[in-house]
Amino acid sequence: MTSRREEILSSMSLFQHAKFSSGGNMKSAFKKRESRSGYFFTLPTLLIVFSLIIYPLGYAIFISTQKTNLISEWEFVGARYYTELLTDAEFLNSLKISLTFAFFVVVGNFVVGLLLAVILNQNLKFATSFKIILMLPWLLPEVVVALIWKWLFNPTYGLINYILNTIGLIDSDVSWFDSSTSALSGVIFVAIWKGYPIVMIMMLAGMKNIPAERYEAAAIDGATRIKQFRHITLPGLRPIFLVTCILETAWWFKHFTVIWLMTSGGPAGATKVVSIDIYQQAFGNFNFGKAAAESVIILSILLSASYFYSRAIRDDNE
Amino acid sequence: MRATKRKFIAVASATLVAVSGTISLNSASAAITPSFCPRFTGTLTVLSTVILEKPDGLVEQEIADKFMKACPKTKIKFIGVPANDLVTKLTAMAIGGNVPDMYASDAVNTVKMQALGIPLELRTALGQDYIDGFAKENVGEMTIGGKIYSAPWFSIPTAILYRTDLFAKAGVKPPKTFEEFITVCKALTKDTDGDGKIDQYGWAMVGTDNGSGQGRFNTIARNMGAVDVGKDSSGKWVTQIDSPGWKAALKLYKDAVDVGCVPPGQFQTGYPEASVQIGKGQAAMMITGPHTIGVALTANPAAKGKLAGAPIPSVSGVPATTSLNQSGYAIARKSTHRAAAIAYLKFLLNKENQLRINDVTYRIPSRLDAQADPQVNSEMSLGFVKAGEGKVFSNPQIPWYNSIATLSSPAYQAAIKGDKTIDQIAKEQAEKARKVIADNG
Repeated sequence: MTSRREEILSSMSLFQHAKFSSGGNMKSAFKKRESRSGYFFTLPTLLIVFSLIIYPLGYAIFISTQKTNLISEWEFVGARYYTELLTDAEFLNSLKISLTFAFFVVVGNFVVGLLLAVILNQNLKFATSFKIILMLPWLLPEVVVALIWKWLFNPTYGLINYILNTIGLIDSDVSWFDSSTSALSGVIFVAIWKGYPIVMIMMLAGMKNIPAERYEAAAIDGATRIKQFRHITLPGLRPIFLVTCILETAWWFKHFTVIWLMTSGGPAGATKVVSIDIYQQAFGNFNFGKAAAESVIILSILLSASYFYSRAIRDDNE
Repeated sequence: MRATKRKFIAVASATLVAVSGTISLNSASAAITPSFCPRFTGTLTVLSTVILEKPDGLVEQEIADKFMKACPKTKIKFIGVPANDLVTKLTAMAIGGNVPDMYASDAVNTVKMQALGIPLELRTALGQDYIDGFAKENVGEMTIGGKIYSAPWFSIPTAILYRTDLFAKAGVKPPKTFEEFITVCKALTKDTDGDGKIDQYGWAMVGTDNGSGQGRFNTIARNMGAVDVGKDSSGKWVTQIDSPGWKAALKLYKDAVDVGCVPPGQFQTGYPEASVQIGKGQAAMMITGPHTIGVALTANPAAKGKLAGAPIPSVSGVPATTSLNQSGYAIARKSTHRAAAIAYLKFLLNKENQLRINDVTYRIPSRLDAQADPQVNSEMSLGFVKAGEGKVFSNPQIPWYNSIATLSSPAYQAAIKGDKTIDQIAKEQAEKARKVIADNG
């Protein structure tokens, strides 16, 4: 059957070849017309990609080589800001804080999200209601989340101190954000609270795609629930895990809102992630060139990270 | 024919009545439209910091409503921005080319915006006679190279705002030295209801990492004898951030927290929180301007008559110094509604409206006629008026001043945390300041 189809296709191709080879000009005219229409149809996408991605990126790189206020002052400084930044202890410390913050938030989101996804995957009663309730933090705007938790953690009128006081766990008001460790832990906790639902939903969707037969076969072979989870669920979730990891890492590494609203990068720079440093360079010091250079460095870091992740995904598919 | 004639007479009479009616209406409206109203029909956009504050914003809106009632063709639309975000917002607007017709402008912001070529020169726009009606020290801070780029509205000289009732109960007086400041701060910290927990603290310290905290710290540092940036005798920009005065200011912050006379959570205590603490009697004194009286009274009207101002202490050999912290309005050079903006600005600054904002918010008017009114020297704000009459420090007119001013807040937070020594902190911040000076000075 297949060979017959191939024969027909091959004869058609020969026919077409014969037809057009009789007129080489006609063939090239057709090809030209085809390639023109190809360009024409891809033009809108190209324009959008250029104006929304390529141009802003190019402009940011251009600004990073300038000492500028973006209005009247433009002085070419070349790679000066890059060399300064790569030896600047404060910037490197901000990078370290960003990495710590992103690492713990991503891990926290995966632990909480996966745990809740496993529970919700048990066909519990009212599972839909639980899903909706558990999704609420993700639906709330980041500004609202930050302000709610800021008030809850407030040492003098916050609910957390009030409850701990009432049940006798503390006898004086605790200043939750006064030490470096507690401030960073606090913003990580809030970021996990805000971010776990999306991981939970992705994992839940992944679990639904794992064929039930695998679990049945494993059960017949005497595998415990934990073994099933380790040898069927986790490998089955691997592709989703990797994609979610890319998105989560990129999202939390450059996070700004929650930290800025809760601590403004304090106390004394303890929660000053690199996005806060960029903001302060641009709008505190009005050093837009240096801020742009910082952004380009962050872009490079995230591009490298996503390259390794995507390689892992490709290897996985192969 | 007769019918046509009658019809013609009827139409002519009706037209005549209508025309005369319109004329009389027009002349009536012309009679009730005050002369200060602009011819402009449309909306004047005003970027304001005051409009977001309470009760201050209510007064600004009230004045704008009065103007719109008198000049119904002109609408005023406010864009609110927190005072600490003014420079950021305005810079972003300037870069985007959408600066509003009028914008709030303090002394630092005036310099920054002038460097970007944003404001209209006001000496010509308002007239010399009108300029002469401002207090000299106020208009001086808004003048660059003899040209005026903002019209001052009010000033809020920094001093100690204190609760007279709590001071009287504790048997203490406003401190005259910084040693006394800590002693008084401790004496005012107590458990007033006897439940074993401190519920009244001495000092409502603004410890946030923002302009509110930075401005207050820098005023204290100046009274300790150190300026963050200034010119030396040879005219070069220098910093005194690692001088003994600046370190003493850091130590004052650390000592106050260490002795427990500052309410917990000082790094989250911004200007609004500290003002409420004073109003509610949770704290007894605060470094601030008279505008806090209005905010404190909004939080607790029962505090009326129990608030007063006193100058900030200074170290021996350094005169007590304050900052005017004034704010005003600038008009965008590219505004197409200049005449309307000038008309509204003059309305806002008339004596009646200057006294109105002073009455509610205790901000000190910038116009001489309003300043002369006895209302301005009320019992509660007198201490601030006196502070403003003493030595006034004006920030240097450099567009990069913000880069230096912002160095103080991480420093006092680090000093309070105690992870580094004060010497280390001062050294690190001074190095940063010197780099800023080298890059810009």
